[in-house]
Amino acid sequence: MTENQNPLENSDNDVQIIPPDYAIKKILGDNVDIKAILSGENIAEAQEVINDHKNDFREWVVKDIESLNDCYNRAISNIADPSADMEEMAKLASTIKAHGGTFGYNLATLVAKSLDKFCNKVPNPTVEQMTVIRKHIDTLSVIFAKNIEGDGGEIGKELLGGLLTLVEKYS
Amino acid sequence: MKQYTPKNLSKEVAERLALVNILIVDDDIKIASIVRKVLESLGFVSIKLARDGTKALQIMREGRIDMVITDWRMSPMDGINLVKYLRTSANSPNRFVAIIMLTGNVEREHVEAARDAGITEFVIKPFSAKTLCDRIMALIESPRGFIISKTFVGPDRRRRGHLLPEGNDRRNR
Repeated sequence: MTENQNPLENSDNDVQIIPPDYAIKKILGDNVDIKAILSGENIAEAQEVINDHKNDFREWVVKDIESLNDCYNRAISNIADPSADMEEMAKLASTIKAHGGTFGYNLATLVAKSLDKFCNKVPNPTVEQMTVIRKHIDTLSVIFAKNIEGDGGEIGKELLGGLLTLVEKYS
Repeated sequence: MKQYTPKNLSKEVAERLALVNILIVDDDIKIASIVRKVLESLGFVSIKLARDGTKALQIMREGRIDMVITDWRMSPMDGINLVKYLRTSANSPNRFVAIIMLTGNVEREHVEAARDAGITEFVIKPFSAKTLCDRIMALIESPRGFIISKTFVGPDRRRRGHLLPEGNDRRNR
């Protein structure tokens, strides 16, 4: 089979196994020790790049939380058809979930994960279920207002535990 | 703007690293820029950015790309459809390109869907420099055989444990 042929047009028994291709290693050549480049001090410096953007992240996330609030207000005032805003809230929560921990805000990732899951679970929420969403948004606001990094210790456990109890009750 | 440049690289090594063409595909340009700076800090300087799969394919048709680092959720063409297109389309610009899926979609079904679409490595968001470096190292140092069949096109999935997310990011959540 040629490279441009559609492989899904193969016959049922036609399976090609192509040996590993060290394409990038070949480009790098014999004199580049990639293991040395991608380890130790170099990784620490690469992590510094991420850490240096922590303040930027905090600015972005404040805007995301404002957008969550806007979506929430629209959804609650249009409770008969909140689907578009629920979808948008899930998307915003997913973004915070994905990036919080990257910048050291692991608790924010967990809260946003719970919010993302809940929004997807209840696309047409009741008023009580909207209260659960409100609590998640408020918790995210508190995390960044008080700059709660990592898992937040005991306070973090308490905040998250409260949310998960609410989610369980109203799911 | 702060510049991130690698330390202690000889001219020869820097020139070699510059030959590796990397494409980052993410609709969140802020995060894509950070990933780019992380790579630049390690010495990879030939980096292009695309906001979605369609733009990524356009860039890949314009010149050789050796490694794709793609997000999942994008539109109009998301990351998983980009991977499927690259692996199976008759018009793929490079069926065999190394692909890292960098995504917040971390449920088991997502990992399996990405694997079945033909990704090379999987990095979950939140991510650390170490997790990303580990996966880049794996695809350079330990590439897998490539399977072309009626039902699957991509790196051999039998090295399954290797593909599943690892690193402290996941376990600590």
